[in-house]
This record gives sequence, structure tokens and C-alpha cells, in this order.
Amino acid sequence: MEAIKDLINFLSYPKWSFTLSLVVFFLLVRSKKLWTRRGGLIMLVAAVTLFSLSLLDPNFRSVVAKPDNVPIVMMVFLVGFFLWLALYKGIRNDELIERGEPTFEKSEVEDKIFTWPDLVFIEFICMILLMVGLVVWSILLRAPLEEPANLAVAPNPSKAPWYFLGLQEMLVYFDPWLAGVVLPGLIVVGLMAIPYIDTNPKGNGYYTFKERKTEIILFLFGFLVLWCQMIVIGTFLRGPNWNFFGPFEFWDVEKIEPLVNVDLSEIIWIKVLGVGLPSHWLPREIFGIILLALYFFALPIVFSKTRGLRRYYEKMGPPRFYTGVGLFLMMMLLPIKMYFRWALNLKYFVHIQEFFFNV
Amino acid sequence: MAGHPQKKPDRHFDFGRLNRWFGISSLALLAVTLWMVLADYAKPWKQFQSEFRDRERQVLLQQASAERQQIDESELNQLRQDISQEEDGLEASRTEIHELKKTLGKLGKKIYAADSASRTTKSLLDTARWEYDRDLQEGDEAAIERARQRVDELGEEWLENRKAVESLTEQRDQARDSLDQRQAALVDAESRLAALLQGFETLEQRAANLDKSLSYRLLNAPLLDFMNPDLKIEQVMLPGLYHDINFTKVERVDRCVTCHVAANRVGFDGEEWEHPFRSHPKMDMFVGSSSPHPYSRFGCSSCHGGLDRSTDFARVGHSPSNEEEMKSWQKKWGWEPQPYLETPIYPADYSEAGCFTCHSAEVWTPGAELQDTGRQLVMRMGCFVCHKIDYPAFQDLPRPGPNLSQVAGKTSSGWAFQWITAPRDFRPTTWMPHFFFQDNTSSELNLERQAVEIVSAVTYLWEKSASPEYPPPPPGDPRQGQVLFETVGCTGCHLMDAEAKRDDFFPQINRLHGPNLIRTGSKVSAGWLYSWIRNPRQYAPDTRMPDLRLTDREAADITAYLMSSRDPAFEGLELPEPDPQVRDEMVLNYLRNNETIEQSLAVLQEMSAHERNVYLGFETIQKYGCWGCHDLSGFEIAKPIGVELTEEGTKPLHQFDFGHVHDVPHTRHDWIRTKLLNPRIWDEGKEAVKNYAELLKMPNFGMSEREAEAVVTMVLGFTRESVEASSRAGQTTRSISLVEGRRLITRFNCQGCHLIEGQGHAIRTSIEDVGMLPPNLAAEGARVKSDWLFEYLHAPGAVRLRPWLTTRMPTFGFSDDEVNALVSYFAAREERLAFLSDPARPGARELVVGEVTFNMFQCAKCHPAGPQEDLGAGVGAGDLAPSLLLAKQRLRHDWVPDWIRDPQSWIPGSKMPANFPRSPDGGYTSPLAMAIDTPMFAQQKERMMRYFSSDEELKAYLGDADYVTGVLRDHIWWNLED
Repeated sequence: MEAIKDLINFLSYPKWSFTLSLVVFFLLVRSKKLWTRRGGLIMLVAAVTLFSLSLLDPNFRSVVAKPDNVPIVMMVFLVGFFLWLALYKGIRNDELIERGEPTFEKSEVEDKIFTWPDLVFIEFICMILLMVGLVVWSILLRAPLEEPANLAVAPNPSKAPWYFLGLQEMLVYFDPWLAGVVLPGLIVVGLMAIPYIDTNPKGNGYYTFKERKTEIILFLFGFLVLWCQMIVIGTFLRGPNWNFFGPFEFWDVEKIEPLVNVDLSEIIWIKVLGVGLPSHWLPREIFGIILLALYFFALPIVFSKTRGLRRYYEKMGPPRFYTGVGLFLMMMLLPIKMYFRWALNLKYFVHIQEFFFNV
Repeated sequence: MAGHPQKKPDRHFDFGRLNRWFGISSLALLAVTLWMVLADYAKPWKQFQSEFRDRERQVLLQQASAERQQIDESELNQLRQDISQEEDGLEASRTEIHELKKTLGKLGKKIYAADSASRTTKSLLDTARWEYDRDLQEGDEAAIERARQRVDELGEEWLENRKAVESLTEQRDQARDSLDQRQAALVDAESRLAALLQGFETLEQRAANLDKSLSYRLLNAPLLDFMNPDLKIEQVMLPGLYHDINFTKVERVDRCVTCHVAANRVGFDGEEWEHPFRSHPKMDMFVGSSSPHPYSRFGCSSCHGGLDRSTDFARVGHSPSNEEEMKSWQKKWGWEPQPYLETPIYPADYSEAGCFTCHSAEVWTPGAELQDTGRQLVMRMGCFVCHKIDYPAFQDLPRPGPNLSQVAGKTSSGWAFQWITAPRDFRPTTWMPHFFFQDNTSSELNLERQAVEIVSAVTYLWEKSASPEYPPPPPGDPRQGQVLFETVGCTGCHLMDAEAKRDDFFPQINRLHGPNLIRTGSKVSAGWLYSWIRNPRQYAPDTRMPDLRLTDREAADITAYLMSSRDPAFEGLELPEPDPQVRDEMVLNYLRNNETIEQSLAVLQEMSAHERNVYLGFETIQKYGCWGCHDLSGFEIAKPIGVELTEEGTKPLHQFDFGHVHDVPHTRHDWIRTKLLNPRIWDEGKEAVKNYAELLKMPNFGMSEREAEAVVTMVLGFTRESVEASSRAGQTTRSISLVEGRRLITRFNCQGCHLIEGQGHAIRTSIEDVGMLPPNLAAEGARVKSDWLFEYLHAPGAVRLRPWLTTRMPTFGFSDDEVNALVSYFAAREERLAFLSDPARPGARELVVGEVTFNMFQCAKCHPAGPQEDLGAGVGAGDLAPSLLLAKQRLRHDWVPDWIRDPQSWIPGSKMPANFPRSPDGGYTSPLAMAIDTPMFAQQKERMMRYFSSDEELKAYLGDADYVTGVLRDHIWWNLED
């Protein structure tokens, strides 16, 4: 038992769990036909069993059962359910479309239905039931109020509200102005921009997977692998001093992790070239700057010429394509930076403390 | 509709089903809303209040029925009979009474009508006057005239109305009087009955008020209880007492009595009243409205700690006293630790800690005994020298240990080595703690390191110490010395007892003020000791050891006695040689703090072995902070080495390192207590990986459980709680004088010999005869003149006030400031002015009567009137009293009569006889009025009769205790003058 726990603890460290989740994500996408039918039930049972068994562990229990964390446990199951529901319906519809039959949504309603009363009434009932649920929840689980705040004593770990924990987790890898300002800003702007970038009318009003494969996979990658996983890590696996703890590990305040991160400039100038760091920032950081410039400016052009992607370029036209690729590259910066961190203890690609510019 | 799912063609869903869902969900919402209301209603404090109401009602009913039993039935029946008789008697004039009552009723209505009319007119009149003023402003002559007329008319009308009211009132009063006259006897009987039943009826009424009637149930029902419920949150606002909530302070609002329903009420303290239904156990000191800490001013949380506004057991900060209690709380109330709460409620054992919040300026706080003991221990053990404790009580304190600047002349370095190694081995009662060979320094290498540290510290001391030579003392008689030691006053501060333990003296540590003098012969040279006893200040100018003004002979005897206490195990000791390798490694480590490795090595090479020892000695003394307790040259400006304790009581719990110790509950008080009992415990298991310099180094004081508990009580009181100056103790001139005096009394251990504020007389263990004890200073401020006391404290040797006492008041060498502080203290304690004007010389009669009564009372039997100290028959040395020749210059004249009248009220246990019995009215009577007629006093009577006109007058004067004591004083003042 302990060996299994130790293994899970070991695997849950971000460098392994992130890689694993990438693999699992693509396996899930590939095997969607399996689990969108009865396999989904099996996975649910497996997840619940694993979760229940884990509850036997006091460390796991103390984290998961915190009144603050209960909604996030629920969220994990809800995300799974809606993912299953969307893909289940999408794949059903894909089969119907393939057979030339009308989609599920089409066959359900011939034409249009009224907002009132058909929609509003159902929404109203849902609202009441949700209210019932919230009231019961608030009676049974007391609000986790603590002692009056004390200036001298910040809670350790200090955690943002759960929906910001993904951002807080990004702070591990990025400078605050990036993780706290630029990236969240781009997420919001990028989400707003989606309708303008993705003008494909397919999938409007009905579920489908096949007709929007790339878009769905891209979205799910960003949402599940990056966003949700980071929230889960931030909530359940980050303990005192924002140190990482496996799900069955004790949150030891005294835990010390070695601080050995170095900048790209140091790796190249000192470790590879064996000369000292140039004193001026420009030569010192030139490699990082070139790398980032290539990443953000050369890569989109390369993409536009690449065979597989070329048809998107043609279909979308340059402005849409470059904006989309730009946003995509921005998103991919996170996993890339993570891997550099794990592989090379990389602190920053570009570290110009003179202007507080750190990437 | 029912049973037939209805689906109109233009509807997508089955609305019959949706309606059913809507119905079900709405009902569910209603149900959970009700549940919410009930869950919100079911607050434990409501149950407490409700239960208490029932129980209080039961008690009142019981009391009422007991009261009813007390009432004399026959008296009650008699009264009732009287009433019915009177009623029968009124039967005859029944119609008349009826008429009168009717008239009264009518008149009442008429008066009301007339009064109402009068008020209407008055209000019209006021308006008319204003209108007149207005017209006057506007200047319209006609209008002015009209307005004036109206004022006149209304004025007259109003006058008429008043007249009518007055005459009607008069008529009514007449009617009422005649009715009362007829009913007087009945009314009287009824009021007597009411008086008889009053106690019972009041109780019954109070019980009835607590009845849970229908209106009570309605007013306290869920959702209806917003109007004026009986069950409600009880709170008191406490201006001047704050809660610090970051950047600002809010005044406390105490809600404790919401659950602790009887805490501020008297009478609920029997066995049957458990928490939270108990009264506060010390109502005369706390909570009570006439106590110094009334509830309305201080509430509960300002002393007890806890969250003032909370009414939830689990969140208010209750601290369990033990594991068992904790478990039962967890089960019953869902209690859980609140690690972020700054001031949880102090556990019962440490509840006195809260006193310090306001009493931080004081040296001792009457009523907070445990905390006071803690405070004394903190001062005596010298906690404050290593730990900064930023409160007035811990400022400007003398160093707790002896001055070591001449130690080489006093003892041998071999002895010093042995002593530092384990002070309690030599002297089990010592305050000097064990610095070495503790739990976290037990590896072989560390043992060696410690030995090296001790050797080098001793080397340093001897290097820096002057070593004066002391000639051997004249030969003395140890037996005579022992007698002197036990009688002259040494034992007020010193012990001579190999078996004694510090804990035996808890909580009074007066006899541990100076060292236990066992084995002295094995420690110091006789020459040094003789010189020290003769004049302690010669060796250590700042010592607190006073001068007992011993003769050479006495000093030699005492020296001989003390030197006779020896222990061969501590004699002929040599300072060992340190292990050079270990020493060099340690020297190198210290050097490397400031130098590079190469430089350090070079410096080390240049040092001789002795220089290395001295260098390491300096660093060692620095490391352990020896200079904090001992005056040492080279450390005059060193900084305290320990953690500051000023806010230790509110230090966040997570800042306490419990190390790998798992059986200590994670609370502040348990941490501090455990640390005190074993200061190195948190290093458990860490010795192997920590640097030697990083190991915990707080020394081990060998505290007993009780000592630790007292110190914890003190330390928990060091909080960052803030209280407005006006709410703090010690703000008046009087209390400042008290604090200053108490500070000196503690510093010089006056209570070792004297009884002051009910504490002291520690010396009584070696003086059996109570009469031979140094005086009780209970009334000193009321008793003696300030200027006399000033002179006396400066030079107590100038006069022997009680020549029969063997103990001597030592010469402390007080400064003028110190003496002034003591004199003001005594005067302030008795609330006396510092100085008095002299009394006028009384008349001849008073002096004669004084002399006669002085002889009648045989005052001179105990008070030697002359210097010759003749003892009267049957009077032992312990029965003697101060010579009255000194009275005039020493005593306050206004106090003497008071004292003679009732000595016991001034000094309980005084041998002064009480000659004036109390009279029933609370005053005093004099027995002389009766005694004067006995043949024995015929001569005296004759002598006095010259001044009185009659026998009655003489007796009236002699029977007056005030007069008699006054003339006694006059006699002492004026007749005994020379």
C-alpha cells in the first residue's frame, strides 16, 4: 500500500504528472469512442473508487476534506461529466451525419421553440433546485471562517481563490508581470477573439467532434491540461511555502527544496562557452532575445509554409492565422517553459533586471 | 389535468411533468428554508439561556416556599382577621363610603376636563402672544391693538380655567381625606400584611416573571424573535479596552455572558451550578459592581482573553486544561485548535496571566499570587537579562548574580570550574542555572567542547579579575557564630541547610534571596569571608548584601561558623587543562566569523596557549551571556542574547518550534512550560546535524513544576494587547508610590524579616518566639512620621528601637531617592499625608488624667519608660514594646489614640492588649468609668476629681474611649518628654 502511495506521490510531481497528463490527454482523444459509451461509466467507477480509497489516507483526507476544497473536488467530477457528455453527443452526431441522417438536435426539434415558457421554465426549476442544493450545503458545511486576520501572520500556504489557482501556479514558472498580468490578459482577450478567429460555422447548434477536431483538441488541451490541471495542482498539491506535495504526503512546513535555478544567459555564457557574463544586458541576454524572437516571429511564418498547416493559412487568411498562431504560441510557452525548468533548471529565457523584463 | 400529461402542439416539453417538477422543487425549497431557519435558531447559547431560566425559576420557587415557611402563621391569620374585622366595621358606613367614591370618580372626570380646557387656552394664549410680537414687528397699529386685546382675553380665560382646576382639585382632596379617614385602620392592616408577605411575594413574582408563558414562547419563537426576545445576545461595550485589528483598534464588545449567563450575577456558585451557569468565583475582586474590576468596565475577555464578540464555543478561543477536556469538547462542541488566534482564553491554570495587561507597571499585584511568584522568579532567575522584556517592572533591575570583577580573591579557579559545571551539585537551592552537559550536548565531542568552554571561561575570569589578598581573620567561636547567624538576621535572606530545595520555599522566595551558605568553607577563604561580612560594599560596591554593623568579634565568630561548613569533594580542586585540539578548533571557528580561513589560521598560530584560552573564554562568556547576571569587565555594552519576550504571549503559534517532540500539545503555554522544564528539548534528535554553535543554549534552571507554572503565567501575560492608559493600573500618584516602594522592598528583600502587606516574616523559621520577630510593618505609614522614618532608614544603627530584639535592622546604604521612595510608599499605602503639623499642648487636666490612666493601664509594664530596660514581673523579652521616650519624635500623634483603642485592627496578632471593648453602636467604650470606683484607684480618683465638677462628669469622661486614648497620647507626648 505504502509503495503504491509512494509511487503516486512520485508520479504526481509536475514534471512527471504533466508529461503523463499529456500522454493521457492524447490517449483519451484517440480512444474517445471507447469511453464515450459504457467505458465512461467504468472510468467514473474507477475514479470514485480511487478517490474513496485515497480518503483512507489521513494526509489526503485532510487536504480534500477542507471546506475550502470541497467545491473543487466537485468541480473535478463535473468537468469529467461535461467532457463526457459533450464528446458522447458529438460522436453520436458524427455517426448520424456520416449516415446522412439528421443530427440528434435536429430530430428533436423540427423548427424552433419558444424561449418562454419552454426554456425559461426549465431554467427556473433548475434555479430553484440549485438554491436548494446551496442552502443544504451551507447548513451542513459551515463556512470556513477563521480567526480575525493578523497582520503578522499570513496563512501558509496563502492561496488565491480556487479559480485563480491556475494563475498562482504559473507564478512558479513566470515572472509576476507575465503570469499575473500578461498571460491572464491574453487568456481573456484570446477567449473573446475566438469567434473572430474561428469563423467555421460547423457545430453551431449541435454537438460534433469530427467537424471541429482541431479546434476541440486545442481548446481541451488549454482547458484541461493547462487550466484545470493547474487548478488541481494549486489546490491539492501545493502546501506550505508553495512547495509541492504528493496527494499522500504530509504538508510539512519545514520542507526545503533546493533553489538551483539559473538563467539561460548563465547556461550559455558560463556553462557552454566558459566565459564570464557580459556586463551589458544586450549581449548578455542576446541568446534569449533571439530565441524568443524566433519563437514568436519566425515560427508563425514557418507554420504558414508547413504542409499540414498551410491549408489553415489559406482558409483563414494571414491576419486570422497569425493572431491565432500567436495566441497558440503564447499558450504553448507555459508547457515549454515548464519542461525547460525541469530539464535545465531554467529560471528565465531573458532576464533583464535592469527593466524588470523577465521571460 | 391530473393524470393527463398535457402537451399543447406549440409546446416542446410536457408541461404537466414540468409543473410537477416545479411543485416538488418549490416544496423542497420551502423545506430547506425552514430547515435553515431552525438550524440558525438552534444556537447553543439560546439553550443555555433557556435552561438557566428554568433552573433559576426553580430556585426562586424553592426560596419562595422557604420564605413562606418562615412567615408566622398565627401572625398572618391575626392580620387577616384584623382586615376582615375592619371591613366589617366599615359595613355600617357603607353607603357613605360608596357616595364618597362616586364623588371622587366624578371629580376626577371634571378635573380632567377642566385641565384639558386650561391647556388648550394656554396654547392659544402662547400663539396670541407670538402674533402680537409679529404685528409689533410689522407695525400695523390696528392689528397690534387687536392682538393685544386677544392676549388679554385669553389670559383672563386661562386664569379662570386654572381657578376651576384648583377648586376641583381641592374638593377631590377633601373627599379623599374623608374616605381615607374612614378607612385608615383597614389600610394600615393591609399594609402590615403586605410587609409581612413582601419577601415571599417578591420571590414569587420573580419566579412568575421567569415562567415560560405563551407570550414568552411567542416572543422567542423562530422568525418571531426579532422583536423583543428574552433569549438574546447579551453584550457590554468596553471603552478604553481595544482589540488590535491591523492598522486600527476597535473597542471591545464582550458577549461572554450570553452563554455564561450567571457570570456577572451573585449567588450561583453552589456545587449544582456547573459551567456556564456559575457565578464568577471572586465577585469581590472581579465582575462585581463594587469590585475594582466591574463587569461594565472590564467585561470578561480583557482579562481572560478570547474573542470578545464570538458566541460560538468552538471559535471563541476556549483553551482546554488537559487532553481529556479537549476530547470531550471536540465531541460535544466541535472544538478545534485556533492556531491564528492571538489571545485564546487563558487555560484555568494560567488565568492570572491576563492581569499583566493592565498591571504591567507593578512589581506585585495583590490577588495575582501565581503571577507575582512568576514575576519574582523572572527577576530572581534573571530571565530578563538574556530576554528583553520591555515592561516597567523589568527595567533597571539589579544584576541577579554576584559581581565577579574580584572573584580571584574570593575562591579558586578549580572550584569555579566545578561550580560552573553543575552549580546545583554544590548548592541545590541556587538560582544559577546549568549551562553545560545538557540533553542536546551529550555527544563525546560536545562533552569535550563544553569542558574546554568552562576552562576557558574560568581562565578569562581569572585573567580579568583583581585578586586582592585578605589577611586571615581573628580566631572566632563557631558555636557563638551559629547563634549569631540564626539570631542577628542573616537567616532573613540566607539558608544554611544542605537538604533544602528551592521548591520547598514556593511561592515565598525571600529566604532564597541570598545564597544557601552550606559548604562555604570549601568555597571561599576565611579572610575574604571576614572582610565581606564586615563590609560587603568593599568587595562589590553594588551588592544588595547589607551591613549588619557586626563587631570584629561577631564577624570573626560568624566567619568561623560559616567556614566550618565544608565538603571535601569541593576542596583542593585544580583547573584542568583543556584539550588543545578541541580548543583550537573552537577558537578557529570563532575567528572565522570575522576572518578568512587563512587569516584565522595565521591569527591562531600567533596566539599562545593561554591567549587561546582567554580568547575562547571571552567568546564563551559572550555566547552564554554570563555577563548578563554577573558584572564582568569587557562586556559593558553587550546586547541581550535571547529572544525578546515582550510579546511572547501573543507570538503566533507557528513561530514556536516543537522540533521532533510529539507528545507536547501545540499550545503556547505547553511549549513555554516544556521549554522551562527542559530548555534543550526541542533539539531532540538534532544534535548530530546541527553546528555546535547553533544548538539551543538556554540554560537549565532545574525548575519544579510549580515554578514553571508560575513563570508560564507571567510570560503568557507579555502580550501586545493594548489598553488605554486610563484603564491601566498604577496611574495615580498613590499607586506610583506603591509601585516604587514595592520595587525596593523586593530588591532589598525587606519581607525576609518584616511582614509587609501580609507577606514576609520569612525569618520566622529560625526565630520561634513570635515576640522576637522583626516588626510587622502593616501600619507603618500611619504609625511613624515620615521625617523620622527617613532618618531611620538612612542610619538604622543610630537608635535601637526594640533593644530586646536580637535581630538588627541592617544598614542598606540607601540613596536619598530610595529612602524617599520607601517613605512615600508607607505613607501612600496607609493613604496618609507625608507630613503632619505638631499638635498643640493640651491643658493641665488632660495631662493629669493622662498620667493617671497611663498608670491604671500599667503601660510601663511592657513599654520601658526609661533607658534602663527593667523588665516587669512575668514579662519576657518577647513581650517588650518600644520605649515610649521615642514616641514623640517617632510616631504620628493622630495615630496613637487610634492604635491604643484597637491595636488588633492595625497589626493583627500584636501583643498590645485591647483595653477598650466595642460598644453596640460600633464605637468603643472605656472600662475606666467602672474601674475608677474600686478602692484600688481611690487615690487616683481623688487626684483627678480636682479637675471635674462632679462624679458623673468624671465618669462620663473616663467612659469615653476617644477621650481616654487622647489623654494617654498627651501624657506620652508631653509628660514623658525627658
